[in-house]
Amino acid sequence: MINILNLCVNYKDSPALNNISVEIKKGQLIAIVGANGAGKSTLLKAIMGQLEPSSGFIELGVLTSKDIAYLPQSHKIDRKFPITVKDFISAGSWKRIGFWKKFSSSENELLQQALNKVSLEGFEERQISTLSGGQFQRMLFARMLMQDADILLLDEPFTAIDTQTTMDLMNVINDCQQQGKTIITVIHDLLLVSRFFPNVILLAKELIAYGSVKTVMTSDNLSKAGYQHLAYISHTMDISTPLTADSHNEVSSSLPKKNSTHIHCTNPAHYEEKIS
Amino acid sequence: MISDVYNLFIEPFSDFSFMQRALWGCIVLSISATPIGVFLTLRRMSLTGDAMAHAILPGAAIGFLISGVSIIAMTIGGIIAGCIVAILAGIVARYSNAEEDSSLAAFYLLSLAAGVLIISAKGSNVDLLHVLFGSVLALNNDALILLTSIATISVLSLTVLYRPLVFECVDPDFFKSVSKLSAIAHYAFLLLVVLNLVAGFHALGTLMSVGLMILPAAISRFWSEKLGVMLLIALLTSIISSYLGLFLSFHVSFATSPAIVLVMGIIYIVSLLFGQHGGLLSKKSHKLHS
Repeated sequence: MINILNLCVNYKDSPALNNISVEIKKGQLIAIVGANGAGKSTLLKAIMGQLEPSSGFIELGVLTSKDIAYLPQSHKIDRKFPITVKDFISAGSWKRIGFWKKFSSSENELLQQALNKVSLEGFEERQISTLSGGQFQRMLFARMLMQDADILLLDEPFTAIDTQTTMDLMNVINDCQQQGKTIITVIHDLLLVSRFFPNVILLAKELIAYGSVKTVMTSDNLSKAGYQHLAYISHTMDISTPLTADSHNEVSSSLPKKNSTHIHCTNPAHYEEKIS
Repeated sequence: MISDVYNLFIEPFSDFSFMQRALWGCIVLSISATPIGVFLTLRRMSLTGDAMAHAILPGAAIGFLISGVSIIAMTIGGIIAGCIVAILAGIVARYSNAEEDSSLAAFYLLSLAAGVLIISAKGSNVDLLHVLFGSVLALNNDALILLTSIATISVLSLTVLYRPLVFECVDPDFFKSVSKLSAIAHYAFLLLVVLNLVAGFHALGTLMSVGLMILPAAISRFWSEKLGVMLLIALLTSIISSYLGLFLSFHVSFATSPAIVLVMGIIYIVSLLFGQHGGLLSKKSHKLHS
């Protein structure tokens, strides 16, 4: 369980998060939603222990920061760096092998399994600079799986990737949840949130709302979170069958499999087009 | 015919001990500095390297002021000054609103001016030339021992730091999340940069020493996308350029360190034109841009 109580975090002397209190149970799948600058990534970094709270605290129960796997925003990664997919993913085993132990055959086996799960078999010796956006994101997921952690923190994992890749990677997330992992994802795509995430944390530097999609994604809350021009979409978005923590098996079966298509919106304008 | 080739290419290095010392110094520097240069360019810190090369000048100059042309005093002074500027640059980047490149340019100009002023105050123009352009043809035993020691420390440290440095370069946010070594690796790397610049300073001078780090690294990027191959290309380029620079210096009486750096510069321009990865005239580049 992750217990966040009265958390305040400053970033470069400015308040980035103010008085956040949230209790996250083991095995939950949660989306963090908010406008740019709402403190979403800051909250992830605070949970990881990379940013110190100015007040309040975060408890991980019996777990420690070593039990956390992190998938950072892809635009912060040097995609031209001369490194193979295999070497890049091997960074996921850092906590086990450190900076001098040999990459053992068991680690190699884990790596192959991770590659299989994200459909990147045969890409081991490819340079990361040759990967497409979708393949690159799959590789980041493979590295996260290599970490074999109980808590997964993902920062905007579906930005600028196609629908098929998004759905494949949602399947990976769902598999992880079924294994009992706690998953917290920063995400901008409200339609994706409403369809696949049972619980939502809505932020605007402070906590606007936390709970099920139906209770959080109201026009009132969205408006408070800075989504004024999008607030009305909560009435039109398909949240007639919101996903709950108790129905994750239902989620799994509802996820489209490979070669299927699904509506995916990343740009607010697309929502408006849909509505009109 | 064979004896002509021997006289032209080998004899200078077989018959003259100052040429042997110069070649040894350059090879040792190449082994030590080129991998550091490859990582500097991959981290997009070439300008930082240039600024730090000049930053060691006032420290070396104070060493010169206290003890004259003493290798130990100038080395210690250079290392202290380099570390101070590395820390100051980090603080400025973190806490000031100033752009990093303008801060580095300010440090670089300030250091160069202070260093030249100190040396001019006590020494002669010859001393000033020695500090600015090095004296690779006059490397004595002490200097060679120092260069070899720094090379040994540098290569061993880089071997240990290799994995964290790679991960820190490619995805710093992720590496911070899995290891507290991120900051340590960064500062240990900067210390290695300072050490290598001080070593380079003794041979090539403060103005040219960074050339041996950055140019081979920049050249290697045009010929390979594999880090191991890049490191090898950078090393070979540096050794070949050093040999050719010394060769030209011996036969045509060119100033040695500028000759070495100029040879590297010519190889860089050839690579820029014909390099397989990003060269202006290469087929791969055309495919990428079309």
